[in-house]
Amino acid sequence: MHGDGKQAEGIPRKERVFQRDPDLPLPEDIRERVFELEEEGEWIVQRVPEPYVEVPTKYGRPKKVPLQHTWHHKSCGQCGHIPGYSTAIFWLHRKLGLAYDDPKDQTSCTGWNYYASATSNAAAQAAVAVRNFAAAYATGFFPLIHCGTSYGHYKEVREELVKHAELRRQVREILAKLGKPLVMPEEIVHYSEWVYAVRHEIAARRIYDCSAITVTVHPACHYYKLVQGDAIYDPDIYGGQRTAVVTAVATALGAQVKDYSTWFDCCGFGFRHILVQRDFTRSFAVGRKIETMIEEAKPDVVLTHDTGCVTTLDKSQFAAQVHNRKVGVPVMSEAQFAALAMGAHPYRVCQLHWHAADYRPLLEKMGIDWREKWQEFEEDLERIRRGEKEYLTWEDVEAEIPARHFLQVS
Amino acid sequence: MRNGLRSAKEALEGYSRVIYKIMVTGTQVSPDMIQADAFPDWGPVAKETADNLELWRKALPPETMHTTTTAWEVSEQTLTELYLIWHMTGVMDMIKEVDEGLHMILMDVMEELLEEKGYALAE
Repeated sequence: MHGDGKQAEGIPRKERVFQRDPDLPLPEDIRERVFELEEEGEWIVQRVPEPYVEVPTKYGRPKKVPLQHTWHHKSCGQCGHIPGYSTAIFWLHRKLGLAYDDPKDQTSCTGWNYYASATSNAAAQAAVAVRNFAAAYATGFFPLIHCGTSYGHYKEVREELVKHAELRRQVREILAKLGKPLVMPEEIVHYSEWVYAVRHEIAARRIYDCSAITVTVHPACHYYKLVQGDAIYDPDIYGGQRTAVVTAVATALGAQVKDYSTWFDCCGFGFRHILVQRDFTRSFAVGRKIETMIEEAKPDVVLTHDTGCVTTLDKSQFAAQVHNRKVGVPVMSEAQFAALAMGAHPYRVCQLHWHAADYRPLLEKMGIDWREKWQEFEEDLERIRRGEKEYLTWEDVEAEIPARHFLQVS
Repeated sequence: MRNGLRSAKEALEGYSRVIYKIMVTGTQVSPDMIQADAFPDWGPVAKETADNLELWRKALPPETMHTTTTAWEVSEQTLTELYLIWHMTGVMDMIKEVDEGLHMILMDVMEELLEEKGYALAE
């Protein structure tokens, strides 16, 4: 499958080459300051472990993405109500034989407290971030952040800590009271950057044909609009003019990625809206995103790479049916889609029964017998119900697929 | 928030449950928040999830996710450190200004664990 992904419709490649004006000054590379502060004795910089992949970013600077020995900073919403999202990320690591840590010594980024309710402050937000970084450092594994909000938020925290000596002092003192060093990772890495980095390995293990699948991609605001410089931009995807992460994965899998006019818009989640103005969220998600995608691209599936986006785009469609709106397209992460293409179980791994929009037509088009798979999952549930099994385990999931080099440290 | 304004208090009313989750459990949302009456606009999946929650959470391979009241299992030591951060950065004082009831509930939960771990909170 290496390199045989079909050209996605509407995605300009070689014919549109954008050259950056060499006289235009580049924004500061905050990572240089991160290392300078280490030399000054302010903190420890956790290096990206080898082997890593260097990927291109918005301003052309390379970014290191670790392949394994990653410490998984899980997402509240993914684990809470899209559990197949997190499970698919772990499953991909296991299928590729890449070691990872799924820690219990992790809190949320608490970003919701800050962005949506203001019941926090800069010191608390920074302390929560670096407590998690210190926890990762203690294991020797490198943080891989599942949530787009945590990813964007931690990059903002990094910038605040770099630029404000008083905040660093305050946070260092708090960490010292917790018995931890002040640690800053060399790179802040989102899981979708890891999926991008291993997309050809994923494509090489694909067992279902995706060439008949039309995909629309919603790029997550918190991935590429918050602290933009180190988001992945690839000259082969939209001429390097849009973030490449999800589109490059779908393309590598051979799916047809189609463009739509409101690609830049938010999904409607918006933090505050989803809690106190859900009708606004729902209207925006349906009117500006889902309907536009259906009218312009007729997708079989919408792929995105953040918690709030999957939730909003998936769960907003049901109520809109009452108003005869054009809805009815499944929404999932690219990690779930990639896992499905590699043969992951749609229920044991991808947990699609937690999704609201009907995903069954997509599975049928991919050649996956969802009735048979649901039957298998129901049998699992029955065994748990009868007390024959306490939980579904990785061994249960992996038993059906030839194991290669499955590794896990905790 | 910092000045305890009434408008801040009103804005917070819709958030109390989320604030409690974030500050006390270490995860911002949890599976048991999915209830048919809380998310009627999600359609039948909300009721189906709520009805099968315990069972469905057991039917997940990652060990950390066999939870219903938190998104994943957070260790007690981790929670202790989170509570200490809230106290050391003045966040608890901010919450007391706008919602004394919520503050009391949070303090009750936090004090119990912190005392168990050997930390005494000065009022």
